[in-house]
Amino acid sequence: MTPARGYDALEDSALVALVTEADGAALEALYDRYGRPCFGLARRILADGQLAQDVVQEVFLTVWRDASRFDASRGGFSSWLLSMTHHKAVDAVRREENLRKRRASADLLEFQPSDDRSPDDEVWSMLRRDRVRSALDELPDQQRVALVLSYFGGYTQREIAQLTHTPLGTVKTRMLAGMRRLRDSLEANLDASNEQGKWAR
Amino acid sequence: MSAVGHTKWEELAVGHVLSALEPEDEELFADHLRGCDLCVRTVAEMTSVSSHLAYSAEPADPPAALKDSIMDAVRRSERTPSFPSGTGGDVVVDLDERRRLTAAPSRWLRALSAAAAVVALAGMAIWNVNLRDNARLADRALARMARVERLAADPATVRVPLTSGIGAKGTVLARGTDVVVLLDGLPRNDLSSIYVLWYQDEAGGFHAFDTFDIAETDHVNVVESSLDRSISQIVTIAISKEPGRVAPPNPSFPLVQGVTGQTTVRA
Repeated sequence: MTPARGYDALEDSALVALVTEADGAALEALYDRYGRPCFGLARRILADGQLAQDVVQEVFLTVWRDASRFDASRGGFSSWLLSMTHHKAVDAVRREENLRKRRASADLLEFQPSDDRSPDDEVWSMLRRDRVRSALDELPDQQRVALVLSYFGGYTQREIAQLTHTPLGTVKTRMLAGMRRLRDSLEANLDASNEQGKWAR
Repeated sequence: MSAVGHTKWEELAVGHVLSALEPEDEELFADHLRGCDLCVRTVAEMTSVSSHLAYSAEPADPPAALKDSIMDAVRRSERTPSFPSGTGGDVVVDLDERRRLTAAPSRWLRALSAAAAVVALAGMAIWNVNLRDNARLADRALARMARVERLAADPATVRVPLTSGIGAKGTVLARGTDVVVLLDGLPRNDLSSIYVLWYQDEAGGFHAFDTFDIAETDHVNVVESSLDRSISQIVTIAISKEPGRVAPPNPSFPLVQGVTGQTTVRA
């Protein structure tokens, strides 16, 4: 099924407005725009293609049922969508406790290139990925470990404290400091990249 | 609450955004968030940062069946979806009315978005310079990315996607004789070999127009160059790896190539 031509030219916010009017093709266009990064993120967290599919399906059906929950004044649509994908994937990984036990912490800290990189993967999105990974690499090790265990491993602050044999308060401080450093590193791009999903596919 | 005292809430805000709070902390923070504008802003800001983290994961093509499954569920949902007639076929839908109804952003806003994306691109490349590089290198990278920025923003720029059978890919941005090549995935070469940029003219002949080395493979490489004729007169652009340090008269084997779509080889 291919969405009607013309939807590609619409901004995210216009597509979301159409979804609130029960326009199925607008949802399809949003899926075409963001399905790849959502699936990539869910698969990174879950390390399981089937569970990742379940999460992505749940995310887009939530958008379908409840697109009016998106508040543009609080950030871009892609931030909202990826945040929802992250939350749902983390919920799933916690339900599948065995899945997490199978994954060594060290494994989470590695970024493995995917085998199925699409030939039409935009160079811009590769540049963006390089930049975010570089920003992560520039963080002090302890901050990076705390953020990666949390974001990609789905571990809570308390679990990270136990895993790294670190006081809980220190873990919280490292995570805040790490996110601030990332924000400062990436700040110049935030508005631009959240505005439109050109780099999303 | 003092700024020092508020740090505790900011730590919880980060935990909230990363879904890393224990249930009791989540409840505590949710109560606080309802009455704290500062934390509302922090959550919004950190959500943006976390979306960048999402993009550090490799995007992956979901199975085609997933889209079908989602759209089937949409059709079965309580909300009755509308699909423009011809969805699933190849019918052009008049979206003018829909655009008016939904107050889609105007052309100038889209132009601003494009400009912002270009600024973002420049920022990305600056990052690639790496903090360990010296100021001179940073200046060169800035100048290089300014050139990419100008080319990317120009509607007259021709974009040529480059593909290969070795996992490398890239894009050529060309306007007139001005060329920038963005490359990812080409293996590093040693000093006994060199990469050569070629173009194929309308008569089918190949011409070397530049050479370069790949020293680092962990980020996108940018090659600036120029042509001795306009891109409109060029059929394909290709890259080969050749022995020695100079371009030979003809390419040994094109590793990466792309068709400009501007012209064809004359019979």
